[in-house]
Amino acid sequence: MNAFVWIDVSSVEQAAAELAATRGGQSGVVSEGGAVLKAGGLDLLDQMKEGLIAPGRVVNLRRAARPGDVHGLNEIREAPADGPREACLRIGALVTLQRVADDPLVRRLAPALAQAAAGAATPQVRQVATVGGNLLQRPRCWYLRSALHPCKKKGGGVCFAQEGENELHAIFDNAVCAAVAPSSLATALVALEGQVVAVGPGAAPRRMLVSDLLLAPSQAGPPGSPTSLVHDHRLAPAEVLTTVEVPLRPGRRSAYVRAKQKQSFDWPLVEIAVSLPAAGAAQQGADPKAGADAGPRVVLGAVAAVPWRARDAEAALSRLARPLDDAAGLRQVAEAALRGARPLAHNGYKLDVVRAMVIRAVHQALGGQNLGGHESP
Amino acid sequence: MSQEREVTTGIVGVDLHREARQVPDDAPADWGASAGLKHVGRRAPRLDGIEKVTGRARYTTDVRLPGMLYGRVLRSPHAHANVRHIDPSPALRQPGVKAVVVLDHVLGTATEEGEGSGKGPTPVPQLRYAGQPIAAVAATTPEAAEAALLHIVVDYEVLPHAVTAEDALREGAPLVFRRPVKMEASAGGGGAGGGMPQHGNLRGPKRQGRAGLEPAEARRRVEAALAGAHAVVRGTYLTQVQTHSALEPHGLVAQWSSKSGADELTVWASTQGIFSVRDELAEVLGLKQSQVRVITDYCGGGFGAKFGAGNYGVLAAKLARQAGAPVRLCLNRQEEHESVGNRPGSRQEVALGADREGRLVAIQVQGYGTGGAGAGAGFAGPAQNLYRCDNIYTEESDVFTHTGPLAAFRAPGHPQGAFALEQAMDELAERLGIDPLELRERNDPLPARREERKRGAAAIGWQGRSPAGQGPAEGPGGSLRRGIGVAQGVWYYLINRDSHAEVRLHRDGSIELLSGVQDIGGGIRTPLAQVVAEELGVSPQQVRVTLGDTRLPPGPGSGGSVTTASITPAARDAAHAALLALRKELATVLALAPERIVLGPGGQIEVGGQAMTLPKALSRMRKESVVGSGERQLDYTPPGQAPSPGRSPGRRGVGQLGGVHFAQVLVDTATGVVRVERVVAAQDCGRPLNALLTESQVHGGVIQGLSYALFEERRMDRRTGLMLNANLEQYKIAGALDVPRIDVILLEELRGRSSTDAAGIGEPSTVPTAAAVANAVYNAIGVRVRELPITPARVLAALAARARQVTPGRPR
Repeated sequence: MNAFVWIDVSSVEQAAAELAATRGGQSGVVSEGGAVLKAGGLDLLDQMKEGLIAPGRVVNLRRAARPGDVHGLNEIREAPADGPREACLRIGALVTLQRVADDPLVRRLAPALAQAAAGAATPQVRQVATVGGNLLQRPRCWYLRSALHPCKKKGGGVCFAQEGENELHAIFDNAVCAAVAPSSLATALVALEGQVVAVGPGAAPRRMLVSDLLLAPSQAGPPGSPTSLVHDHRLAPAEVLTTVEVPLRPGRRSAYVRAKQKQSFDWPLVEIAVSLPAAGAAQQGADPKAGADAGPRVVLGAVAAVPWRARDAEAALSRLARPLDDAAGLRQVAEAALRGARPLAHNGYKLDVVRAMVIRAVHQALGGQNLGGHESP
Repeated sequence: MSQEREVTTGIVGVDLHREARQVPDDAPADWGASAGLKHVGRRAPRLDGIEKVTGRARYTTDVRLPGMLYGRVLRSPHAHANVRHIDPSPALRQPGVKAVVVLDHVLGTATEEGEGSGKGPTPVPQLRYAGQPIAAVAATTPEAAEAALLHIVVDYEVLPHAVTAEDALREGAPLVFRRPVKMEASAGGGGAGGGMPQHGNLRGPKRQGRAGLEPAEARRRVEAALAGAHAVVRGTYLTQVQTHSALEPHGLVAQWSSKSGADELTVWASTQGIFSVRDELAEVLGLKQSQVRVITDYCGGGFGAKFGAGNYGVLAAKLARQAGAPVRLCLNRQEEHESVGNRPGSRQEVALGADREGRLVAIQVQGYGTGGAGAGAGFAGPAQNLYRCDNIYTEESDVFTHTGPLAAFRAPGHPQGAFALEQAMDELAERLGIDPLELRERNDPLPARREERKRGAAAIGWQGRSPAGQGPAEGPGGSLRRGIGVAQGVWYYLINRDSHAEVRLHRDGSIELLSGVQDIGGGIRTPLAQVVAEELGVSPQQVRVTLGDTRLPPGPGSGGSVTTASITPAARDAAHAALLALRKELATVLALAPERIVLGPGGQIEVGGQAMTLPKALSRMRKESVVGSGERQLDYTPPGQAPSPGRSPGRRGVGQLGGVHFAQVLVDTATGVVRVERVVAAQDCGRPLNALLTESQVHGGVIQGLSYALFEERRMDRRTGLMLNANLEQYKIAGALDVPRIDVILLEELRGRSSTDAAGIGEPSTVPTAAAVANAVYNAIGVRVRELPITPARVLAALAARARQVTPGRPR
């Protein structure tokens, strides 16, 4: 690991200024000697130890969560509707995964998010890992994580996973790069229509849906552009993610399930988050703020470079009057979730896992039981 | 001189009886069953537990010496290459750098005839795997050393590689070795002699018939027996490469000094064998054994991969000499995975034949192991030794690949062999329509395993087991299926006679035990103290135990599960000898005939008919101390039978150790995820000296075994020849939530072999686990997974293959 300068900042604005003062940034691509933002530091340390990045300056955000912090970096709270903005659950970027998992508000208002945080990594990691860091961590593809593999996502010319060891890789949109999105929170947040708030140097906070935050390979811009394949998300190099907001929809039910090979310290083989509007809400347009997109959401994780909205499954699910009593209908929903899947040589089994887990997620959302297989809650 | 004595033998609670043995005249008395003892056999907590949990215990990675430098190793980034030219001098000019050494001879791989003479274009040997050490730097900080590695100028001639067995066996595949090879065994076993046929990357086969039979004849008989058998099962089994992944990495700290003008080298090493580290360093550096001192206070696990100095040890010693300062060189996790050993993979074709009564008439196993750039990747131990059968034939070859070499790993070859053989036995039982336990009952000659089957079956609830694939469906969509499976293991009773101990009794009543055995994590200090305490009639806490230093009386390397069986009799004999010395001293002081001083069991002392406590007796001494020495004697033998010579680890010993594991699994047939819910592990290890520590060893063996069954696998990229998961995130190891309830059933099996009658447990406890899990998975889902690890993908593929068979043409 290289030597670097450690910079404690006392505010988000100062962090953004420090990041702007040096080339580089938090977007996964750090030029040698550049500045990088640190929250929990888990993924950052991994990347530095692997020799993937060699930042010259590490900007530590953790001290910015202090009394008087206007961004609520370390807070979880229910925010009432404010003009055009609907009521939401606000979670600061420095809140740890363990707090998300344990917090009564999150568990009540956004169960899918609490469930996604609960089984991630290990208890030790969850005590340190943050919401912001979880959303912006780099994918865990073992080719990307190996400094000796000059893969496309590192600016090289090859996606080694295409012909290589790809059983953990993407089954959707995988022709250019087959890495899967690592963030379980992102999968849940897309299902919950969550958004992030980011602050850039000298700029007003901007909001972006989590579903727009992460970049799919098929949408990658040309090399050198801010949305090229080497980037994982759309934040600018000096932008600081401060908050996650989950809109509050009365009566909405949500759930998250994952299938893991190991029950301790493992990444999901497949994860599913679903959210279902209050009975009748979608059909009757009871929630005008949700607009046209107010139906159920079925989001697949660990199957693509971004949380994968299974729109055909959503449509099929919205047609089911009583999903829990309609096993055949739910099987069709699960099958529809796989439309467009193109498994690689060794990850075809993920299709089966998706089929099973989609059904379990719907059951869990509506029945309230944890049906994530035989995983302990 | 020896005498004939009656000793206690048999399995406690089964067939305990007395038998005659030839025993040395000065040997201590027979202990009988442990129930009659005060300390031995008890569940005594580790004496060093507090030191360990408070962090006071000093491991090698904790050693910091004044002026110490940090070493880092330059390793091959290529799976196969020659070094055309190397210039280490720019690295020497980097800030903080004090020494640079280029490695001229690689340890730990197989070697070609005549190799290592340094006759190539550069002093650097051929690079046969990514991660092979090339050179090393010592600097004032680890970061400076790491940075300086980039300034060693290397011109690589990159060559084509083959990192999988399939690629290595292809016509025209790049060769790992061009000439026939051999490989040195370590104290943990393994090794491969010279003189084997070698074609391309295939070396062998090594053919073995049943003991005493020509292989060709054995093969003919096996084939004839299979042709005439009532029932035959055949199957191909694949096992993966598992890395040792000990918690503490390999490493040492080397410090040179000068004593009376002669060089001396002191090293603190994370090792299973301080004397083998000493001997390898002495040999490589041209020193006398007495000029090298090796110290290991504590070791964070080795599992067979920590014998000898290793390339890192040689590099550290050379760097320290060049720099004139102590050098610490501890490996990181990537280096651990890539370059210091593994359990080789295997492909085994098994055929078993049985007659109508379920008696085995043929056992045949043929295949190859893949130990990378190392040789000796066999697996035939279980096939050769587990069952009584007139016709046994095995064929094992090595397939060389451009990957890190194998090293001895907890029962080398046996978990692989058991995985194949014991699944085949399960299948054979079903073919014959008899219970798997009954099939073993009819073919297994070992009394210990018979008892283990009986007790284990009762504990797991074998009677309530459903037929394969017919258990009740549970959970979401009825996708969960539960299953129970059984498998057996075999290991060998091995001892190492280089096992010495000294007991010192001091006039102030204090007691010391000194021995150059090292604790690799099993906790040998505690049973040593218990044994001495039992003999002296004191508490284990009163015995100060000093271990892990080659300046102490030589102790055994901890490989082959020999440690307890080897060193504890020496310790008891030393304590007994110390008592005899005390008696002599008391006789002199008190002017009594020595016969008037009677030594009873448990340290009782009677002087002239009056009981005297040990402290009292010691206080009467004129000398400050009396000293007793013990060394591992040959095993006691029945009258008329010559003492059996001690066997070196890695060879078949004088008797077997068993072990029967029962696993209960829950399989999610929709996702393929397997969870082990429970393991009952029934084991024998002679006399268990400390049930608590013995159970801990078995827990470790079971956890490592189920981790091997379900998770662990070294993943290589065929195209780049690099390891993809050289960390502890993507290299999957069982974690807390993956560990099931484990019930350990320990037999107390006395054989009258030594003054403690202890045998090993480390290796036997991991041999059957993966096979038991595999058989349980079969019982749960009715379809067999013959490849390790048993991943969700493989479970789903097996279920899908069966579904296609059941309903042909059904689209999926």
